[in-house]
Amino acid sequence: MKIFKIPLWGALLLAFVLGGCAVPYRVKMNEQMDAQPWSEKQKLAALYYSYRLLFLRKTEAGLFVVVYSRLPKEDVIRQLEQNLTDLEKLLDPKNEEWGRYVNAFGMRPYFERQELMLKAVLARILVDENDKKFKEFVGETWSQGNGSSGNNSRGYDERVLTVVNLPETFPFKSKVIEDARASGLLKEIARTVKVESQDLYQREPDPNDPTDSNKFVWMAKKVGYERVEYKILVPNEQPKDNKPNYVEIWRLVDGKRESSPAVKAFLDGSGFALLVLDTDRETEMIGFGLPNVVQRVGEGELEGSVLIARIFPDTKKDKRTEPKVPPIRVEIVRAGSPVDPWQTCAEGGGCSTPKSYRREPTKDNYNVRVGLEAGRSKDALGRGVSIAYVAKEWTDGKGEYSWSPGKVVEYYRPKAYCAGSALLSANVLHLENKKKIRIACKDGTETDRIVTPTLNVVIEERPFQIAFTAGETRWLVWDSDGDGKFDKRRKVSPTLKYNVGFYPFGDEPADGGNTHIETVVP
Amino acid sequence: MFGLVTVAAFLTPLSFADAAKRIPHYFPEGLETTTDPVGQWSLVLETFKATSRCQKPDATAWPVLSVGTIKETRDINDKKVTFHFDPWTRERDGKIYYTDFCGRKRVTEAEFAIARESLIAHYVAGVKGAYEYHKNLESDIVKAIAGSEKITETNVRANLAKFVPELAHLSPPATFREFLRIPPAPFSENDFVQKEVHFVHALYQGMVIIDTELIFLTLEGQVLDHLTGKPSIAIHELTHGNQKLQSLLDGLEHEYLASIPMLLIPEDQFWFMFHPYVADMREMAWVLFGFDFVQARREIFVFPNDGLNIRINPVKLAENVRKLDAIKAAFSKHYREVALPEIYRRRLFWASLNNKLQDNHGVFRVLVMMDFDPTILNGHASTMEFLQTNEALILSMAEKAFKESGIVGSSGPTALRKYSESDISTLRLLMRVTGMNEEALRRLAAKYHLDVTVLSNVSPREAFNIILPILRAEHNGRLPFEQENVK
Repeated sequence: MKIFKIPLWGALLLAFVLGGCAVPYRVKMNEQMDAQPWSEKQKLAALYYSYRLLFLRKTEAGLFVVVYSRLPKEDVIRQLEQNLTDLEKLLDPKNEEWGRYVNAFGMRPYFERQELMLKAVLARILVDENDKKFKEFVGETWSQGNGSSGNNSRGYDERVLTVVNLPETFPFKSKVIEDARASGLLKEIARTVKVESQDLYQREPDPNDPTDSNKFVWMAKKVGYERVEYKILVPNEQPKDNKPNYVEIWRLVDGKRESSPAVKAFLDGSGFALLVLDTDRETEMIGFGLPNVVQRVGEGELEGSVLIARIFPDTKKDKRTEPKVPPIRVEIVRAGSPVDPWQTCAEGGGCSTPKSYRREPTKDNYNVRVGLEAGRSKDALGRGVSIAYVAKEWTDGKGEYSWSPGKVVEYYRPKAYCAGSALLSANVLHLENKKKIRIACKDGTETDRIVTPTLNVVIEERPFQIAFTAGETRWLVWDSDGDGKFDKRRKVSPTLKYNVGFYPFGDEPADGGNTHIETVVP
Repeated sequence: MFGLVTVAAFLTPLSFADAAKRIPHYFPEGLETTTDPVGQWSLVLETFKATSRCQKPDATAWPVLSVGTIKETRDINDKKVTFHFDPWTRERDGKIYYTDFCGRKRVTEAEFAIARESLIAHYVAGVKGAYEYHKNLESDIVKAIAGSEKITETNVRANLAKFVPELAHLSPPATFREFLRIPPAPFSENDFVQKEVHFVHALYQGMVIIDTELIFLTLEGQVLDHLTGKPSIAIHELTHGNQKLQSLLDGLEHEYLASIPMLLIPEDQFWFMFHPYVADMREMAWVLFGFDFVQARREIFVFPNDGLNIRINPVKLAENVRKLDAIKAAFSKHYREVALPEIYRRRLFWASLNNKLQDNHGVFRVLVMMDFDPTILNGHASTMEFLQTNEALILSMAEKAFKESGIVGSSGPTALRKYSESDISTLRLLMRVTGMNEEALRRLAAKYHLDVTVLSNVSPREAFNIILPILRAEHNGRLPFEQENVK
């Protein structure tokens, strides 16, 4: 046998009936026909005849025509939703399998156009369905159900696809409210305007590296809306309550209302409201002005954040950013070649540093820590090793064992010590005072000093480096030229070796001569 | 200009035949166009025997690169088409080499020229054939709309040309014609012309990357078309290739639709009897016209002789094939005048109904009942008597079945996730090898309490291991690979 093949993708979309849980019509017919004393040929004849009985009607001229309303509208909606789901997958830049097809043949604009078409078709079918629901709710029509005559009010009706003026055809207006409006009885009784913004609204995969779950970007969200409540007020009569009869909620774009409300709610005093909701924004064009939800809800549901969230659903298109793929590069580096991990901060203000971690006005909420030269063991003491820095690790001001916000550590150069002699040891006398250090020199001198908040003889006036945590990143900033501005920065591990206020036992250098708190030695 | 003149010489079927007469070097020798049933059957098998090893890849076969092979861009009508002659390369020595799965050989400039012109002529004839079958489709749809809406055809066209308000911001703005997916007026031959055409060796006779204007036609397909004298395989693929007819998002069964202009031609004596794409059409022919393909095959195939050669009854073959002529003509008229205009007028409706019925061919079964009464029960009168006697019962069963069909997860938003390539190929392979359509497989699965999804989710080998004992049990130990009707 020869095969005429269309690509797998087409086969996938078309092959939905080949398996799955759904039961085919033919199987259901066969199940019933098996209970009849019919031959296989009779069953087959009956099966085909059933298609005529179900879906065709004989005209007066003796011709058969299709009865489209036999197909429930829900099945057409399901078909469209399936197509849109397929398109969603097809157009997802993160989908490598389909992305290759879309990109190799430049199909993205075509499928995006198709997506808009399908959305528009779906919006029309939904609005037709919702219009019928709405009219039933407000008592203008009543449900006819799914009769066997084929006159199914919920059956497919293609006429909605050719309507030119949709708002006029589907106004979603209540006669009671419109009559009150026309006679001047409908009065505005309340108006609320709100703008809500959230910079860190939602984490999304990093579009440049969407497959790495640990890489992400924060999406902001800003919503603005205006809520207007109306009540039918009879002249010269006091209303019994202040509950509205009609509510509109409008989305605001740059402070201006969209051209039709996102919500219309009709209240009849029963405690329930008829909610007419349009989730599509005007900027998207498709579906805007065509309510896609009509439902009876409790009056309470018109308040609160849930309804607002429904008015401002997250848009999918935001997620369609094409990942930036860097060019393939080749870099061959001899082992051990030096790497400068420091980034230069932008000209001007330099690298940003944390604020407000010092308790004012005393500025004394810190412990100190002494760091020896990196990579030197305690055996080197007395033979030329020196103090690399004196660090102030800042607390929250409420105790010595709780970090300041951002776990700030300032690193200072020491002033001169052991004049003419070598350093034997430098320890924090933390059991006595976490600001006090003892410096012992080879010539036998031993000096205890307290590192005070003001100018002192132990450390220089300004720190040369500051480490702090911002978000999930720990930064080390550096005043590399000593001009008082932090001009360089690098990331360091956010995991610190010691918690604030805790020291190695007896302050013995436990890690080869260093008690450095950072994993990277300043 | 030269290109235009050159191609114009091959635009007619006659010139296609002329070009084909200059037999290309890859043709098996001694093949002639014939409409004699025995002759055509024989030559189809001879062709497969000759091409199966050298022109069909197996698991160890290697593809070629898209660069390096010989290419030529020509104007077909007023559209630029790049033809890729994938089996041929021109090497640095300036000579042309032809490579198939049996090896590589040098061919002369003259041999390649004949191959090139013959392949292009086959393609161009396919364009013409596909266009000829579909050229009135749009006007038939407009006529039907005008009839149902009781307005003039001019007004129908004017209405279809209006912009859809909510899509008027697109560039270009969407018209109701595009919105409703009604083919543009009128079709031109260019709608069937793709920008990139590859002539290849492949397991199948042709392939289209749908929606892309990229088409693959095999050399073997051209040879098979040579036997009937009609470019039917090219017509099939070019129908797939017309985006106005077939698109990824249709939800319609593309293979069946593309087989209509291909397999209902009077010149074909072979494929309508066997091709799996029209298995359901054969079922319809049985139900409606009474032609029993199973019986016909039994009459034709006398004894298989263990596959060494097949002993057939040439008289019965000719007799049965002639009976199909009227059936093919009736179907062809039905599809051209009734079914296709209806389907392409309301693609969304019919795709949704297929989904509801869970039957890719549901649309064809419904529409065929517009035109024909069943006759399967020993004739029209007795069949209709049975059906009309039981009409109320059948309707009641139909309504229940329709209500219950396609409900659980049928909507298939997960359809893409559900299937992998192996799933599809397993079921398709089963359908192809057994000759059974999907419904027949389903019924059989239900009878043996076998979840058909099991067949979708295992390898072809495992699927065969499951299904073969069932087939043997069903047919007293004999594998019914030539049967497909539900008996």
